[in-house]
Amino acid sequence: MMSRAAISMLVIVSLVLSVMSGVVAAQDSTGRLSVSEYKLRAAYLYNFSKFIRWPESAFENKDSAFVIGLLGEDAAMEIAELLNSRTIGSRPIQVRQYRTGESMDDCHLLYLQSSRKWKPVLRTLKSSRVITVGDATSFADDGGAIQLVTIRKRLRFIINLKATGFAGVDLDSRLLSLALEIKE
Amino acid sequence: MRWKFWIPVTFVVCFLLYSMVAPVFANSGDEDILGMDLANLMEVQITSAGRKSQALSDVPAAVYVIHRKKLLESGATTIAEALRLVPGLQVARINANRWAISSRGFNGTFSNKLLVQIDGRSVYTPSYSGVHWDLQHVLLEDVDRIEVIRGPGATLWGANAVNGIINIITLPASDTQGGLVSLGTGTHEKLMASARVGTKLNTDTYARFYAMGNDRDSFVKASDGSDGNDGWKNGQAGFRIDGDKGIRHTWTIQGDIFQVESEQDVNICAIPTPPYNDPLVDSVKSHGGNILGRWTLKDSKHDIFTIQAYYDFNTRDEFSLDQTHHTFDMDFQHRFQPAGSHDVVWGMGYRMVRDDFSNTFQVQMIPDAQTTHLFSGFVQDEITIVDDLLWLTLGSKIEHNDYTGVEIQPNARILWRPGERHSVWTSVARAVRTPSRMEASGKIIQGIIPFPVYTEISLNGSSEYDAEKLIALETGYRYAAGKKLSADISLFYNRYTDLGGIVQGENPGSRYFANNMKGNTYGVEIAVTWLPVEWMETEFIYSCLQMDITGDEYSKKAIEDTSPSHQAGLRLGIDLTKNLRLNLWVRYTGTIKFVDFINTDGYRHVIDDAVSLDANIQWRINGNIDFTVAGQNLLDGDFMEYGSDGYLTPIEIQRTLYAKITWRF
Repeated sequence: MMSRAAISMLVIVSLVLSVMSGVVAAQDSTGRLSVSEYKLRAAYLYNFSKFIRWPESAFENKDSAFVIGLLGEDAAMEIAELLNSRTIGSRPIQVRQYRTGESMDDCHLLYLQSSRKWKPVLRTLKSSRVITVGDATSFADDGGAIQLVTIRKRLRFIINLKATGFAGVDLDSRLLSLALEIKE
Repeated sequence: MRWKFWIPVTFVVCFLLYSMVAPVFANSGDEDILGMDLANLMEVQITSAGRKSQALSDVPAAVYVIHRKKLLESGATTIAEALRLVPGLQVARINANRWAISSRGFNGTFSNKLLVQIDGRSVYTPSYSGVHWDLQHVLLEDVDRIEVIRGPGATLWGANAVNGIINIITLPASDTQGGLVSLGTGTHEKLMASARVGTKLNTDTYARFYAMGNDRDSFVKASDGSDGNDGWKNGQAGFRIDGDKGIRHTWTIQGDIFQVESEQDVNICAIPTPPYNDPLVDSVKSHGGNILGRWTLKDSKHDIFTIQAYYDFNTRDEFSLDQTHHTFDMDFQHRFQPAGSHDVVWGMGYRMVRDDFSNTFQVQMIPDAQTTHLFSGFVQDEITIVDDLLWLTLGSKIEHNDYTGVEIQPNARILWRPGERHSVWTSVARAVRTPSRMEASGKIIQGIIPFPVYTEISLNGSSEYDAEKLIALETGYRYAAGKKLSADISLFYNRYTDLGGIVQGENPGSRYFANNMKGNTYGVEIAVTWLPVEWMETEFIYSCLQMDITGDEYSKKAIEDTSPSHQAGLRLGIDLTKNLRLNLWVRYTGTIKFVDFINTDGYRHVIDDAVSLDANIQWRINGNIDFTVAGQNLLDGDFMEYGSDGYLTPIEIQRTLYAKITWRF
């Protein structure tokens, strides 16, 4: 007869697990939510815009839109759809899609997809208050402002405070506290 | 009896507790994620991209992967049964708790040319170079994939990876967040119960804990249909913790403990006094545990360093032998790109095995306790000859073991990708199987001849016993047209020398393990997957094996005739509705025969070729609850799948049915 020990162990473990799991479930339901990576990126861009304060001089007037620039492929359309109807404070969000070679100085937040030629964009960006966001593996090392990193199928980010864009904006310290890594 | 009552009660209690504590979750749609704050967003999982199947076309070896979905759709309740999905593997159930599993021939209860690993931990038993399949349990819902490499993989995996490697890989704890409870019962599977909970310990650390228990009924004796005395029970629990430090460091700690009790009906048990043979019903009691740690560092130049160490112990007590093994293993690996066209991986390893036996009249190991050490090092370079077209892989393993000294196991492989959909590979490799403790220094009393002179029929280990050697030539072709159609064909020609057989000693009745056999085998393995419409998936597998072995007559027939020349399988997965899936699985296995021990012209058992059918229906009641009804071996009520290797009573496998409910929360 096995296993009286094993089975009683099983019973105890199951009971402990069930109580634990209830607690876990009560705390957190997001762990099991899964979405496409571009929708998740859209949510990140939206959140970044809330943690970064651009000076009034970055906008033409009180009602001008908050501009999110995109350099990427079809997936970018998905982002555009989600963000276009939203607002940041009192400002409506306007999503602008760029083509390679175009000037991208007239946006506030600029997402550069790693499949596009993003390095020349970082070099030619004249504005000192465009916050660049990218997912290339060397994005922050090469001068990008916020690099998105996928770890364990979840999105995290690295902040490069040396990026030119951070010179012209105010940064909420809560954003820094959530960063995976801060480059100073 | 009492515990059978307690397990269902536990689950009911768990259910009630859970439903009290857990809130009702709102159905978070895509739109909601814009409303979530950053801290919560960091927990949202990206829908996986399925890169693995793409990477497969880059491997210059005969690889087959059972992904989680296929595993769960197969209806298999054990790892052993799931391996029937793989072309070129022979999976034969000897009785309820034993399987004979091999790749490319040489099958047997003690089949010894296959390396099996669970999350990087070897589960190969050094006393007989085989795998105790009744001790290998994982929570199938937590398995990411089972990778099967047919053919030698010794350069990377080491000695004994002669005819194949099976890597069972579980999901990281970050992918098994939340809870799972699964409960099932059936005609053979009297009880299947498992529970897992995944949780987050802190921002970068995930953990899961699980427990599982099974109780399985016995099958029937082939002779008269009476109880086969081969039921078995197991209980197991374990954990896995995965963490990161920044983007460079990844670590894992995992461990399991288990207890298994499997019955066996012993036909021939030699005893030194009249009546000299004492058939018995024995209960094999096993328990064990393991703990493993792994740490990976990716540095800024894309170098990857991995250090892994584990400790594993297990004890198995049966009528003929009590055995305990303690294994400590440590491995280091470094992968780097010294120049644009080179991708080098090298490593070093050390393994210590401490064994301890309680010898009996039937089986003795001499000495009854010993410690062996294995040192190894390997290097492999994947060279890009022409970008995106032609690759050459060269590598070798060198190892030192206490039985045969230094063994060198090199390989060379070429991969050619003439188009995005096509890849062709070819390889030549050498591999060895080092002696088991039994072959080196064991003694088995197989029978007694009382008259005219008392004689013990024994099979003895020999210090002369050398490693078995293989030179393998392989080639293969893969075609992949997206997800719709893919095909994989492998051909192999294996040349074995110093193969194990049995020779007569000087004393009458005493026989010895010896390297008196040699020979060659060749064959082909095919797997084709086709999705004709969105709601239907089909897969066809076929394998053919020819063996030409020379040496002693008994061993020749015991090797050649126990592997079927032809095996085939056809699986159909049909989405009847959005939430209802029907899986059908038909298999064909060719004839196998079991040569008589004394008169090698005769056979103890001939198992005719047979067709079997498994089927299951999976109903997704809602997003979180699945209900499965499954049947195995539906075409034939009672049949022998494999002959006994001598001392066990021949058993007939039965048609089985079970129902299972799985609840995720």
